[in-house]
Amino acid sequence: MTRITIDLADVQGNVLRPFAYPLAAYAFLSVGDVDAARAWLRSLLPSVTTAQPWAEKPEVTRTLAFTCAGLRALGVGPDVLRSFPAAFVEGMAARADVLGDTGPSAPTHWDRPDGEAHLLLTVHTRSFERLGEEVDALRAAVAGHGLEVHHVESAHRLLEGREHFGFVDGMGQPAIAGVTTAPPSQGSPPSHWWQRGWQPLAVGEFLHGHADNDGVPGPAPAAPFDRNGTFMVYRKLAQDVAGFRAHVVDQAGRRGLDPELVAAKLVGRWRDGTPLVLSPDQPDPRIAGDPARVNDFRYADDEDGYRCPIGAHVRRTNPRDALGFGAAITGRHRMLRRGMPYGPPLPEGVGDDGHERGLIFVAFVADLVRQFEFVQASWCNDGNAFGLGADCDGVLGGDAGSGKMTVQGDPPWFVSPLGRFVTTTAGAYLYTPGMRALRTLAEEGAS
Amino acid sequence: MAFQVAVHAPVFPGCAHELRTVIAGLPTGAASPFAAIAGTHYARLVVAEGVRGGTVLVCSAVTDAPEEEFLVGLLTRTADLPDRVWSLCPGWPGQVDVPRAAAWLKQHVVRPTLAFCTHDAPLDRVQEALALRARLIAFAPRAQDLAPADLQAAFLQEFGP
Repeated sequence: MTRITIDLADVQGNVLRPFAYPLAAYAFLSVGDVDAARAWLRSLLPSVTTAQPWAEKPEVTRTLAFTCAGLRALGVGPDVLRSFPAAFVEGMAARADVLGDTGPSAPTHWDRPDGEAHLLLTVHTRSFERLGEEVDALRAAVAGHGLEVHHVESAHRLLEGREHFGFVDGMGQPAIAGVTTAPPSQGSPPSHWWQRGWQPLAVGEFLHGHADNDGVPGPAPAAPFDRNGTFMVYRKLAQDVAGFRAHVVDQAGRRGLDPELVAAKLVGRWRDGTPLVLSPDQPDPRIAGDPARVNDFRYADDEDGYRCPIGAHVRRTNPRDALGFGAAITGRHRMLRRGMPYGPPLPEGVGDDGHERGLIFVAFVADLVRQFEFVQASWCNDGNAFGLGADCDGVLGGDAGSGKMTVQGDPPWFVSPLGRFVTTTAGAYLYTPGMRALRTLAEEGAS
Repeated sequence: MAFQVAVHAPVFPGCAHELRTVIAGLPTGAASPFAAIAGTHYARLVVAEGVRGGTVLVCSAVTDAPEEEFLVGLLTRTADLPDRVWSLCPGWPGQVDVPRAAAWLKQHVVRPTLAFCTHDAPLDRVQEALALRARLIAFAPRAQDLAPADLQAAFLQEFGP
């Protein structure tokens, strides 16, 4: 077995392993004066958190990412910028049609054009007090340093790691060869008969300059961004919790079903995380509570989707072995998700209270198109890859597609009409450079 | 019966980016230049790098028209598309000279052994079938709660006996 060497001191933190703090602030900044902004960057560099193992968990972590406009503003030359993929250069708003950000999710309705900001400083910590201090300190520090705070979003973990619709979130993260010592079922099913157990993904699926699942390094930007950097997908997704709950009750009432079953069929897991494919009739706390079992499942044995619908949210976003060839196909479309909910939870039994709530979706990928955009466009917003025609994701919903979700069974039934429960309200494509590239950027701009 | 057509033309060194920009700017769907060629099921242009040490422009199509008829349609019915893309390929004679341009395209034709899509029916039959499928998909959720007799009546009303 090839030994995989990753210079963890050159990789920013929270990429290969999640920080797992309960609180985060996402501060978007704009560069005014490039020299002053570089000076501020140089002052910040010693406190940027890397992927090196901690002797003790720090009180606060800081990581940096840049939009294409930000790299340009900091003096990155045109030749280097041209080496970045078109999707990154164009920015997320320009990719709205590809991503299905239409209707209420269209960029013209977004809170603010995050893609026009230049850099994103992400801060993780444990207390609201410390988070507030960090943001105040940032505002004070950038004043007079050629930077302006565009805006700040804050996010916080909900009880039991659930998202606002009430489901335990973030369980199915890919394992990475040479990095992750997570439960083996966090990887991908084997692609070949001679492989046993679950296979970790190659680090090149997430970090530039390393071999990916194809066995060779994939496309990467030019030096100094050619090694240990990664693309960051940032999306602010508003969730209509009251609407989702009412929809589930309505659909269950029409079929004479338990609303919890309808919700589970939409998602592909019960709220506690129990996979439908392992326990199709009810949640099983023995499975949900066992890290070795909660992700140890495949779909090839449920080809017809009788246990977990073929179009369920988690089955679409990670079809595992459902597409054949083991995980050879799925393994090329995985993401490291590092998002966190924002806004107050809506208590059960309470109607819409007018508060905005949702998910700050953050994902790291080596290839924006092959990984994030492909999953969004071909697996969530379309059903063709799964033999489902124009059916789209019943949780994300939206105006596109057939307007229904097919729940396979004997007899099958349809969730119809689909509502829109998730609306994109902001988003940006950013680049998270390795530490050496970050230093170059802070010192000379990388032309 | 549908035909498969594929044209592989080498691209001048250093022109891949320009070619991709041209292709990315082309309208798609019903506004696609290919839609002006009657009987086109599917057609696309792809820039493939690293093919035989260079860059190749691949034009592939599934069409009701035989190869030559499709190539002439390409030259005469798609406005200036051929000049915009193949002028970046060595030897392109220009679409104004249709016979020479058609001969040039034929020189670069390769025989597909695996088609992106293939149909045993002409385009109008495929479109009819798709329209019927769309009606059936719309009908199914609407009718799922009906009692058997009502379902049968609704089906007959929608699709006829």
